Amino acid sequence: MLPPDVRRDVLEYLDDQLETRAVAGSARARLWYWSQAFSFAARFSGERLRGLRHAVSSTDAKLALRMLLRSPGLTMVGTLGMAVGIAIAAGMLSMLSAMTGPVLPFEEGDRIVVIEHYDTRQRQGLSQLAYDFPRWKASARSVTDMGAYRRLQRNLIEKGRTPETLRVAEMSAAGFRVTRAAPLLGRTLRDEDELASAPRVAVIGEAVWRRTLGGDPDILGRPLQLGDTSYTVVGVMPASFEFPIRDQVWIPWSVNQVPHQPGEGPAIGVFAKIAPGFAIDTVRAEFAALGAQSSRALSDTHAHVEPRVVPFTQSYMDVGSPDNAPVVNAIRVFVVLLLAVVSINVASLVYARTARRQNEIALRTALGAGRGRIVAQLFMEALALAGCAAAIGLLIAWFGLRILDEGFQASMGGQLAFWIRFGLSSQVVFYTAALALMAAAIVGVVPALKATGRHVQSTLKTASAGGGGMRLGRVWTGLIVAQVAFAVALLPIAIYNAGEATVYGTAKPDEDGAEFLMADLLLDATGMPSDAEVERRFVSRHAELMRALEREPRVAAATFSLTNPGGESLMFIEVEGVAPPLEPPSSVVLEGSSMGHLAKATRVDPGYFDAYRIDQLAGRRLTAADAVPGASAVIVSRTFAERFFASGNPLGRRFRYVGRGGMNPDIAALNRWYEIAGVVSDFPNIPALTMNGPHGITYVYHAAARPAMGATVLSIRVRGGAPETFADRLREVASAVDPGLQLQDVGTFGQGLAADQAMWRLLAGLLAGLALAVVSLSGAGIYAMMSFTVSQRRREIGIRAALGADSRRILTGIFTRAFVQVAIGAAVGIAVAFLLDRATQGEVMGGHRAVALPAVALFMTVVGVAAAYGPARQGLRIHPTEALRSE
Amino acid sequence: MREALGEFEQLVLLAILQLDGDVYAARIVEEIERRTGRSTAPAAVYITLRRLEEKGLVESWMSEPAQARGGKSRRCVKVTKAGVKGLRAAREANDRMWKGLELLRKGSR
Repeated sequence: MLPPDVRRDVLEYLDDQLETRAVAGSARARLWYWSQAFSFAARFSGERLRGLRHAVSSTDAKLALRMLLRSPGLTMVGTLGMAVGIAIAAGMLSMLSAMTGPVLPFEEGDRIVVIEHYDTRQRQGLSQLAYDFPRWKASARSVTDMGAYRRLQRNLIEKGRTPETLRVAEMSAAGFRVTRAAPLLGRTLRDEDELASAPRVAVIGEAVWRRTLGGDPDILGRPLQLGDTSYTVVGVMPASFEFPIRDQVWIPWSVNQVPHQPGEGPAIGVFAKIAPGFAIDTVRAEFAALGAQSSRALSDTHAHVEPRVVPFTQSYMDVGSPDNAPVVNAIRVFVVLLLAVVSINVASLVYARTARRQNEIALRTALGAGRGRIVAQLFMEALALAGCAAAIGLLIAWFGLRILDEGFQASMGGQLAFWIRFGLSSQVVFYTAALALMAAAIVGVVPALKATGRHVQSTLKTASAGGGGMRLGRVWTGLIVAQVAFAVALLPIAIYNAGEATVYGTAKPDEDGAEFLMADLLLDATGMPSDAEVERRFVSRHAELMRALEREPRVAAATFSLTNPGGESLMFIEVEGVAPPLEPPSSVVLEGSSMGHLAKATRVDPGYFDAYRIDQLAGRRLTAADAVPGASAVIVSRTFAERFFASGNPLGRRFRYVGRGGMNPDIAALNRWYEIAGVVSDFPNIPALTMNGPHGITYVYHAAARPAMGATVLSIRVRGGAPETFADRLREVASAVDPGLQLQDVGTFGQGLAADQAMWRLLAGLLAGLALAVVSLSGAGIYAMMSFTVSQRRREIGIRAALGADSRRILTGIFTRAFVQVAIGAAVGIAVAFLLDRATQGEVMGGHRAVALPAVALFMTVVGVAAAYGPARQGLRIHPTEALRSE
Repeated sequence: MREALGEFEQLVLLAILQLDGDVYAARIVEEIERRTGRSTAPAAVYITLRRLEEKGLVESWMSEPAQARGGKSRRCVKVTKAGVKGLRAAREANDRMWKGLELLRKGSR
């Protein structure tokens, strides 16, 4: 929309102004920003159409609006179709630009890079860089301010307050220099703070200062107890500073206070700024040379390792890397194509209407209107339509992106990088305006050029004879066939998925789960000599915590499992004596084979079933003996037993895992036989929430020997309702057991689900909108075709009726051709949907192919009949004398 | 003869001439608003500058990267000789049209 030579200038101007005006109030500044963005878009597009502008007057604009109001059906269908297309396009582009184009929001943020190790043999990144970091720092010349960080979780312990787990970055002072961020109060970290002999200091974020520490004006110099270590607060950073990822507190870098062996030490991140006068390629070349040196010198650890230099934001999410360029471009092309398809659809509607106005156009030509003027007016009509659609589409996209952003922020919490926000950017608004122009050009200009072509004169001649001069040729027939095919192919998929999304989005959490508070339990492992020590401490602290919880009056029961109830790992199983499925039930397989039945597996504390009051239906419970290595007894859910053994006895039957679809590898080994020792009732009994319908509640429970660090979910049944009110007390109890015990994602079933469900509802709404748009566009297309045909053959119908033919028979003849087209379209659509369904192993229609495809074909026929009803009546009403009067 | 200058084109050219140092779009917007007291759409200024440059009445170049703006540079503009000539012609045409209407000009009617 903006010419390339001014685009950057304009965007920078808008950003600068936004920043300046935000001082007086951010809401007003934003309003100003968007109004100016629209003003730029509108004026520059007007400038581009300067030639056309001479031909367009304000009368045209008024006329255009009047025409839109005169055919409300066309306007509504056209606007809805284009709005849905534009909403999807704008939403996808916004998400793409949030993930591919981000630059750190700092001065020269694009010059901040990450240096990481890449193992060329294992094809993976390596983060044990504590040995390499000081060496790189000493020798690299093409970068400045090289620093390192690692991300920690620490409990903030304040007297008289509930402990809170904070995201702490142990970071080199260089991290403040590369970002050029200034503190709100006090100072940032300095190089000398990193010395082992230096006093322990910390810099805190504005949010922690204001919310957790009550905005204490004397915060500087105050002690800050993080876990079992005390720091002195020396500075407060503004809320906008969360570097490196999304951090709340910064403490000095201490990893290199002790020497590390190559390839050892904690996982860390190394960053630097490209030195003035250098480009990233020079930096890459320098690090490649450094990497080659260490490969030779350290053949044990570095032989297949090379340093990689990538822009900071790209190291976090790899979407923008050149490897992914084809996918990203494919999405861009898809967006344009989607809109083009919708626009062609709307164009066909406008074409049909234009054809009906053929006589008016011919008359105006005869009265001296130039072709340019008529085209300009029709273009204005289309522009008004596309403009309305763009505004509605952007509104839908804005609303959808907000839900998506909230959902992402809630579900990813502190893991989502601070620079990733989903929202409408000015670029996307400009781009959408350009797409709307493209749509208007397709919708308005193409039919207009056709309508004002060479035949206008002959049209005038026939106009007085009561017939139009435009013909519906092969293109039109092709369009109708394509439209119906598209609808038939897309509808079952859209409806099935919208239905599923609605079910997930509105399902109520399980009644039993409502009494429970859940939390992930972790232990701050800083300073512990080995992983074995961490595990030992974790197990003993966990046991202490469980004992402490038993003494709490509000706690009715406490237990643990490796996964959240409902979040069990997806597995593919082979059941002895049961035939394997004919097709793989899902295409998502992480390890092993997907040629097995779906089941969901987890490991639980033997007390899990009692805590959750899950009924024992057959066999025995799990015991501690089932948790020893090599034990094979498992418990399954009722649905599992019924699905595989029908009415037979499931006890003693065996199965094995053939593939893994879930992320958690610690659940059970592949290809080992397990034996069913008991059957329990389904819990949680919410097929919808388990994403795999009835397959989702085929649970398998293994006994967990002991809790494991990083994979322990506590479940606490709380007396007296409202379990979320126990969260603060839980944190206090845990912190009293050990200040290093950390609780993450503390919440009830419902809380965890709310954000997730909002996203599902959004998806459902979008799919429903798409389905509605597709159906109404096809219906309107068929209507336009029938109506056009009737008006074109008005005279013929009249003459034949005058000669004594039954008008019903005449109409049947005319409509047969139309229905043949609908039928061809339906057949093509069914074939496409069938192939799609096969290609995705039944996932797009959830295995309902056999019902869905004929139903949709039937539905489209009904839509076709309904759309043809009006024109048919119109045809039947043609009176022979009236039709012949003009002859 | 060249196409006559529009009123807004004249305002933009005059604003550039009134300003010292690096002149860029944001400063021109402010200058016009300050001197005429009417609100000015930044987009209109950008478009007019482009048009004036196409007509050869202004010249533009990218400034040195400014440290204060995070190393970003700006598109600066200056009025060319042809621009000054165009302004003069517009002024003369204006004056000729006003000739004989002095009373009206002083606002005495």
